[in-house]
Amino acid sequence: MIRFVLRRIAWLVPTLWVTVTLVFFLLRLAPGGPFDGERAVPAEALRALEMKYHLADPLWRQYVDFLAGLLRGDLGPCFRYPGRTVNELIAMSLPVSMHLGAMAMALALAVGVPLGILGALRHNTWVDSASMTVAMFGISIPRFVLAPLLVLVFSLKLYWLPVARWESWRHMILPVLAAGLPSSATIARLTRGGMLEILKSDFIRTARAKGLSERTIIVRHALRGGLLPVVSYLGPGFSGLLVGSLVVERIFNIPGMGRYFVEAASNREYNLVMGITLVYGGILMTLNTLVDVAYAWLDPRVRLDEK
Amino acid sequence: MPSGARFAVALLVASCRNESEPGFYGTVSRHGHDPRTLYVNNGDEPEYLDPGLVSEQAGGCLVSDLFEGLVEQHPRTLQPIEGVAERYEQSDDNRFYRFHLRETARWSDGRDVVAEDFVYAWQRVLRPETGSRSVSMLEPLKNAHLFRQGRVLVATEPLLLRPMPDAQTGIAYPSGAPFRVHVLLPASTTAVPFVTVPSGELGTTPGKVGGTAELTVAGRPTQALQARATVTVLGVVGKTRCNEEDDVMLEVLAGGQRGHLPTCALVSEPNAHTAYVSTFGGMPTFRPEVASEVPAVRSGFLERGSLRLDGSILGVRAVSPRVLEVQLERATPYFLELLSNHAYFPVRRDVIERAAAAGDVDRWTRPENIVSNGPFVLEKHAFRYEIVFAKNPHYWAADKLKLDRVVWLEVGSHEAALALYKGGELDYLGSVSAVPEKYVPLLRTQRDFSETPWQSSYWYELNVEKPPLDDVRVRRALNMAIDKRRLIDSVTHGKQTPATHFVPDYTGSGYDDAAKAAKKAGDPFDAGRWQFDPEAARGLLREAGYDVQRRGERWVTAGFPALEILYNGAAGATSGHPAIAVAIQSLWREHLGISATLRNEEWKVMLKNMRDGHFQIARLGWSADYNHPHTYLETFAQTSPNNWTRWKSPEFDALLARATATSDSAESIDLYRQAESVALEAMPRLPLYFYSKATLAKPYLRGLHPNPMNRHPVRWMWIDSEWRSRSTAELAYEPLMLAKPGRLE
Repeated sequence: MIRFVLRRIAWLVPTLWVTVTLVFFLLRLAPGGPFDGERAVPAEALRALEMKYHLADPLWRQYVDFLAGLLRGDLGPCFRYPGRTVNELIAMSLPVSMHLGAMAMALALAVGVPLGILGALRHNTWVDSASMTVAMFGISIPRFVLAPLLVLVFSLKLYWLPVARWESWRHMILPVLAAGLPSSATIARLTRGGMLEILKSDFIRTARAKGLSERTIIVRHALRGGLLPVVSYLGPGFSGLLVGSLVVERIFNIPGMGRYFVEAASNREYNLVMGITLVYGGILMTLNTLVDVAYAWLDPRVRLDEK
Repeated sequence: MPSGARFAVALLVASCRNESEPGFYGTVSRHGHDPRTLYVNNGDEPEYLDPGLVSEQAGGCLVSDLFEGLVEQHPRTLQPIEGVAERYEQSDDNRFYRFHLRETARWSDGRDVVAEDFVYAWQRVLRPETGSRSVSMLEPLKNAHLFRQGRVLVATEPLLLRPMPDAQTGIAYPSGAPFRVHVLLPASTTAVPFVTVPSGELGTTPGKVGGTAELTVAGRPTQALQARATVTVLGVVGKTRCNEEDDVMLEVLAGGQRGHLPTCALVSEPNAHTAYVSTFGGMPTFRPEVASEVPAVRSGFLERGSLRLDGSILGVRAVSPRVLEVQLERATPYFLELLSNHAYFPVRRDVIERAAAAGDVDRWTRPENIVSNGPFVLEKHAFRYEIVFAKNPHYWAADKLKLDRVVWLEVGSHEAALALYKGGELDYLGSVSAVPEKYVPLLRTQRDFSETPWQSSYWYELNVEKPPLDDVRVRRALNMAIDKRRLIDSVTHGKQTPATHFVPDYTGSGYDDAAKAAKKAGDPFDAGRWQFDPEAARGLLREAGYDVQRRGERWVTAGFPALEILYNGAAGATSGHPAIAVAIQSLWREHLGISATLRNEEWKVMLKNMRDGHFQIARLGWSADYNHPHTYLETFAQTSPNNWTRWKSPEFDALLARATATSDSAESIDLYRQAESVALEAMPRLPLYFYSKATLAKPYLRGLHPNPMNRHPVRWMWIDSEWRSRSTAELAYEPLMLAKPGRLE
């Protein structure tokens, strides 16, 4: 197990290196530069800006400088917001996104798993149909519809909760719902599928034959295997929630990192794009490793240290 | 209390809130908001809070309440009012100004605002290393153009002007002598050196940074070398003109070939150490009657290190701490308008230099560092979330302000801003935030909604080098086939004004009066041939040699080359560009029987393609920088970097030059209108509409008055707790009208 984790960590570095190298060069192939605007930038000003940010250097030089900065943990300055560094931007926005993402994930699990189990246990009854209909809605309604709908109902009609912003716990309720509910629907469907498969398997039938209580069967035996599909979804699903959602952050005016994914690329914010690529890549790979470890723990058939 | 119970209580408390009142959008109670704190949306995180570097609305709006210029604008009428300057004098030819600064003007740390703060700020904007995008704002200052390009430098010590780079002898000059720099050596070029001295107007295409430029003589490109050639400058041959500027013709040696080139065709090496210069005689005098001393012009070579950029060549100086003198290149009838632009605001040298010494000069505008001279100071800056202003206790009118605090939310989503406004979290949507077009018809019935004509225009840029757009008849036909009224009614929904020409009729500085007078006499810009007239449009196409025929219900123009409309923004996005392009495409098909394809590109890609000339028709817009027709019309000049049309008209350029050089304002406006009609006749742009600004402000917000510049400083605003029982147009305090200038002897 430990060897597996170490090997994964050793792989992390070259994988990230290949990713950032690809992104670095692809980004500079895109037409236009960070300082292009509707109004022509005076030639002197453009030269001063390009000198300041070393964009007039040859590409290989910029790449070497970037890697050198990376080794020092310095992602460089942000072009759009002078006087701010990419490190600063990520340090300010990532914790907010992670906070929101963790709560959304907790909500998604708390709602999704019981709903899925319920559906599987009452397979082909009205309970199953109802819970899966709800889940289907959750999956089909995108966040950019769900979020304004929540605002409309709970803030503008009922005046129960704040419209937007990130201040008190009351401000967090709607964004967490908007970010978490669609994931909970996915989780509910995955749980139900996993549980149905497990409940049909021989060892559950054996357990039933031995006369174990239904409760023990579900909690002790079925759940471990039934949750496997959910666990494999958690890697990409959770990392997506942790780095923030553009839609949720825009609608609720939350100062998180999600909005940089689109903004940075369309503004040709070279350094910022590299920064968020690294953060997202790092989180995704770490979570996937954890998922693999959890897999081994949940499923006795999986062995991580096999030669 | 368990959190569940707390939640229930919170819900209960929240639901007791006052709900919306008929006639208004959302609540009109301020539930718990302090009566001396204003909540406004600023729409976005400002790029800069540095007045010299701000270039977008989000920053400009904030900076104009943090800082204060010499002259400000009346919030209702936009007339000049007193700012830091109490009074001023002006010469008869409009080229010399003397401003008297008020005794009580203070920085937020208590220090006096002095004339030197303006001198420093103006020079800083123009310095090449500052990288400001506002340099064109300060262009009217004497020698600003030379200064910002580093073309005039001053000797740091007594030195020798040598006839050849390595000559030991030369002419001695004292320290402080100004030199006009022609080129830094070694230099290189792509243009083949001419064997004989070329005659005629020369030009160079602006080269990319670090690249080279191509030389043209009277519009025709010369044969270019395949590779960049390093040239040796041998000496000056004579005077010439290049890109409409005075220049000198040099004798050069390149690749064994001897010939001639103007200095504008040369690109300096980054590590150049020798400068080719001539003595400079255009120093500012600051006195109307005194001509600057013109030395016998000598040219030769100097060490680059012995020269430096010096502010003394620029037409602004501090005579005493309270007196600022300005000399302009030309009469510039809109100079007073410019003074209220943030590029002219003062900044503190010591504050900026301290931040530079601490490692990052851009951090001088952080709350812990910034020192400002406006009515408010920056109290808090939560990046991409909110900005809080507090009253500046040292501001000269601080006791008159009726707000202690302004909270600027940075809500980028228009829908979220509307929702926050509806719920009472915002008192005012702010001048930056927009109301999405689809909400406008819905909101129009509300009493807190307002819609004002705005000095901002929307048009289609035509590339006049691409057939069939190279034919002016085709360009005019395209214009006449667009029913702009229908476009507004069915697509943009607002109170936009259909544009028949390029400058909105409500532009100030006398243009509005001239437009009114012209209307009575049959406005040339309102005449039938600029209006929607499909029959005449088809006639123009026929004149241009196209066969326009009626086939059943439809018009067909056989053999008309395909047109392409370029725009940015995906369908369904908040911008209306796709919908407008579709509407115009169908209008042209309906009335002219021609087809246009649509090309949607990402914004940066579109800009790149426009810069490279890879477009036929592209959507563009412009908001006025100041309340004068020059801000629109300068973009038609041949040398304007904002003219993407490739339309060049010596006649237009000459009229514009005359208009900026005239001190008689009525005559100047007349010349601007003549220039505009030249541009209109040639139609390198299809004017579509002038924007309107829609916004929402709670009924208790006072001191907010619509004006076409969409400039709404919060210093004039206040919260009226008795708004139900009275109606008032009062400002927080009365602006001091700027007295007519005294005469400068």
